[in-house]
Amino acid sequence: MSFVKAEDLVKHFPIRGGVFSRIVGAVHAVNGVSLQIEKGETLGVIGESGCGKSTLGKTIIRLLQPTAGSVWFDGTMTSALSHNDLMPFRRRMQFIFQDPYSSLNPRMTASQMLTEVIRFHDIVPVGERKKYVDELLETVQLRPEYRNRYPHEFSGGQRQRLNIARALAVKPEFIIADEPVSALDVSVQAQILNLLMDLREQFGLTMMFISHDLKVVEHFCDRMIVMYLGSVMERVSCDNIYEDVRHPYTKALLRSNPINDPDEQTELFILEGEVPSPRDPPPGCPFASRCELVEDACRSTQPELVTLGEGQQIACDPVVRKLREG
Amino acid sequence: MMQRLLNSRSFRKYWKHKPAVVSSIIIAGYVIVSLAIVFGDLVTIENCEQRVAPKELPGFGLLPVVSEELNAQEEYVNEIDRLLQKQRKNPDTEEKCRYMGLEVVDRPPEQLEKEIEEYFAVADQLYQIDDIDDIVAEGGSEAQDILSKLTKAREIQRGFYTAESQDALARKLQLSLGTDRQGRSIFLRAVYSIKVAITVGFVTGILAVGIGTILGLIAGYSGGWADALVTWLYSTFASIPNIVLLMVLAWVFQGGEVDKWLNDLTNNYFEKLIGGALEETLIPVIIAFSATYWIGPCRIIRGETLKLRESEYVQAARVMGFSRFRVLFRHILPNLSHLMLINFSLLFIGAIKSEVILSFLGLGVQRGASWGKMIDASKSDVANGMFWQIGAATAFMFGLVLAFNILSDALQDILDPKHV
Amino acid sequence: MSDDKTTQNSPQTVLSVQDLCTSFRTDDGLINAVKNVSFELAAGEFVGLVGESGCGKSVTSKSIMRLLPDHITEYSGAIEFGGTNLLELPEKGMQEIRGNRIAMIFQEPMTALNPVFTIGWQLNEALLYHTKLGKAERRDRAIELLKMVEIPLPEQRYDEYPHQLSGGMRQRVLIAIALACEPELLIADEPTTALDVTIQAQILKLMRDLQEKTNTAILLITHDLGVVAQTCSRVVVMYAGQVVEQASSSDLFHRPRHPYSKALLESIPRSGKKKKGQRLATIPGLVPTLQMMPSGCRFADRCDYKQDRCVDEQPEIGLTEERLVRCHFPVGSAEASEA
Repeated sequence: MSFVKAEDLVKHFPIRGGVFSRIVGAVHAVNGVSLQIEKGETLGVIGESGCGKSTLGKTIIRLLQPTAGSVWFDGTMTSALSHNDLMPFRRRMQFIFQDPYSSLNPRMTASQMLTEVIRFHDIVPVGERKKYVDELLETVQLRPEYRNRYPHEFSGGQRQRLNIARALAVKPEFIIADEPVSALDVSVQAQILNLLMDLREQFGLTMMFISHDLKVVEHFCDRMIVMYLGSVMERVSCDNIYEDVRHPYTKALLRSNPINDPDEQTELFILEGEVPSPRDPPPGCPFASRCELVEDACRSTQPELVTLGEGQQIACDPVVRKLREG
Repeated sequence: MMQRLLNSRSFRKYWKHKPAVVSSIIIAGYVIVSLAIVFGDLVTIENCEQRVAPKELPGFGLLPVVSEELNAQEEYVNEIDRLLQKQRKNPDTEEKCRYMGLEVVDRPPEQLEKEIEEYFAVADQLYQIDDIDDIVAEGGSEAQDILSKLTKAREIQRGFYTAESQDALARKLQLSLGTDRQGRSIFLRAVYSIKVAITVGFVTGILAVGIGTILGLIAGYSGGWADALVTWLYSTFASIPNIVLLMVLAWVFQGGEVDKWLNDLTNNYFEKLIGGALEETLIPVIIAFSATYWIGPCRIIRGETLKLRESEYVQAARVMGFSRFRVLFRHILPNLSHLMLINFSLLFIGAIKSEVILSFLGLGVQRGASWGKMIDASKSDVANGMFWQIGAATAFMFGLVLAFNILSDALQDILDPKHV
Repeated sequence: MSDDKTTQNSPQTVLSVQDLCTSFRTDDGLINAVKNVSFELAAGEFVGLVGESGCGKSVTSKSIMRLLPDHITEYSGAIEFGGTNLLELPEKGMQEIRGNRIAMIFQEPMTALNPVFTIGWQLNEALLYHTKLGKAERRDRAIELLKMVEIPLPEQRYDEYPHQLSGGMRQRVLIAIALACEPELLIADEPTTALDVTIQAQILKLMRDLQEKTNTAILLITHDLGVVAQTCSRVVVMYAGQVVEQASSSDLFHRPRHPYSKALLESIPRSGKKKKGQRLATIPGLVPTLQMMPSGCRFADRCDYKQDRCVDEQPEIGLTEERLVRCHFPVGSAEASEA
């Protein structure tokens, strides 16, 4: 059994309106997503803004209650546990937030923040707490002298290190990182990615890495799932994405990414159109409105995920048919 | 701890903001005075009600015009006359010989009688002159003559009372801002009103911000029916004109059925606790204010809580498994503290100003003095050129409100974590 | 798109920034945010101004537009635009240039449009203020502009409000407003940072097409080297308030001379040529703060090629093989190999 598993996970946010705040609709943020993450593996989740990738992460960690479907962690169905029963699992799963500026309480120093977590979960004996805080800061390559600093005294990269330290404080086995580097400068981004890779190895972490940046996911993850409008479009190994990807959307994403070579800019690939509203998703394939391979059937029936080869699944009927035909 | 406070960024910003520092010193002065009134009996209600002059006298260093001074002098002399007659009827009584806070000199009655006659001999000459004030104002030899006679009359009149009691610093202070129609010291009344204002301001501020913060936190964080209830409650309260609600509440507590019932129920209890019946305290005013003033802070705190609830550090705290209580009080509340402080200082000013309006309308403070009552009392005086009562009340209030306004403005800048 | 030859021989310089220093008066004294920045833009040129946050790129662009708060800002140097020094122009004169001859688009398409007015109204306002067109002509011109930025159904969009449009569409509207008066210079401050990759690609293509069509000079401010590679013919790299390298795009991307440009390029994960779990090249340390700038080379602390001279002596920006580099020992130069 997989270490972390989600089955047909659905998350809808109700839209209220009218005088009596009745539910008049719903934002379909996550629409029946299934995924498995093996122990020690890193799964990338990629997609554009509004595709539901952050909601997926927050639903798995139970920051949000799923509308339907289940989440399993190490053999236990955590999606049905009460607040108290969930407590032992809180220690084992952690979340790293995107924005290094808003994810730290501005009125708590680094050591107050870490000590609070350590005390609450009783990670180390009372006498060793101070030492443990220093160790944590050193683990994320911050100087222990910084422990009495407030968040605003740190730079963006340092704050993200502090965020990582907070997540590591409870000695978790599974970490969901939600765009941990997208708010950072390129050179700092590289530092944080290196740090995460080191820590992953050092602590044998299982990770789910949410990002909009294909280059980062490709570099950091073992496998990835590509999301579009709340659904999984493709599931593929990160080893050789340029040759492996099949889904027209993933291909488009890959080709829209700026290439760092001014001489290769002969033809810029443009994916026309925009993502449909998640409030009123189309009945068929969510990508149908922008797809170059679109057929009539695509607009009416949502394609199933079809297994193609080792670890690869795609949800696109025309491509699957073409592959099967030869 | 102290060291850390002094080194903190906020304190350094505060220290650099000189107007804020000066304002705090002024406010501290007001607070010290009001503490001295509450705990040290610096000025008592009796002091405010006590007459210190026979009639209204101007303050702010102005001298009364001749006719006014003559009137006052006559009152002082007539009092001596009355005392003498009482003693004649009742020679055995050892009655205290004081008038308007002044001590009567210890002299044989015959001598006093002689001096009274002497006084009226001089004063009667002056009484016979018509338009005496105009003549003095015009100047000339006639005016010189009048003034010299007036000086003489004044000397005789002063002779009836001991010099110590007339020249005492306390008496000078009492008369420094003049007296009202009943001859009560405006200075004492204005000083006593500091206590009323500070009490009303502080208690209202704390109660209103407290209620507003708790309701706002609950509404903002839990949402659902609790939010709906609180939102409904403050929308309802907010739709009633503020001053009308204050008037209704004040009226209910003062002589209405509720008040009677409360008084019957708690008469003894209140007597012991606050040394008077309910309607004689500030409690009705404070309840009326708190009931309307919590709306502002509640709205702001609710909105900010809604925002903070979605902030990543609050979500991070939830991921840690922290309880709702811990998230609210350890992670959200400290980040609202600047809003609470700023709201408090705004409400403080609002309460003081409203107390003045309410007292002016006759619905506020019942016993003792308050700036509102003083302004109310001087409604007709101003038209007659007697500005000192309204002037003193306004000046005292202006100092406090201005200082608080400057401080609360500065606090907004100083406590805002985003403001550099 | 203009190539290198035209930029170098171009007689028609649109914008010339010379030795620009911008400082802010603060409680802690004068803080120098931009120091001795010089560069030029020729008509129809697409130039990228690249750097990490805090490097002074936004302060430079706001200095050009004079959008910084006057009461705390001090300028020195010169910004020549159309024969006048913008730094000496009174506010009134500046108002005639802003939006008319120099236009600007901002990072946040969500907040740069006023939510209570229709798209048409906002386009109209720009035209009303800077042109003498009549009412009907303004409407025609506005719809023409919406067509130019490839907004579908422009007649219908004209009467819609900003919230009815997606982020990409709003950025198109902002570009239309910016181009309304046919400016000689367009400053784009991180125009695609808030957008998704697929939308970013659309906007960048649009900007490139429009630039060819209208011959407007564009100064693109960005932290994303990929965006620069895709659009710009020339790049100005800034670090800690100074220009460290200025070169044509292809020179910079293939043969960076300044160690900072080189390190910046290396820290981007490269697609395709990947070895799993391989560490990325990073730049050690932190950008020096404005209050504590080193007296020598500002990059010295973090530089792999640091020598004693770098710490002691501030390098001047100088011409090395047809490009400007602020380094004592440019990468690949004779000095560097000697040392």
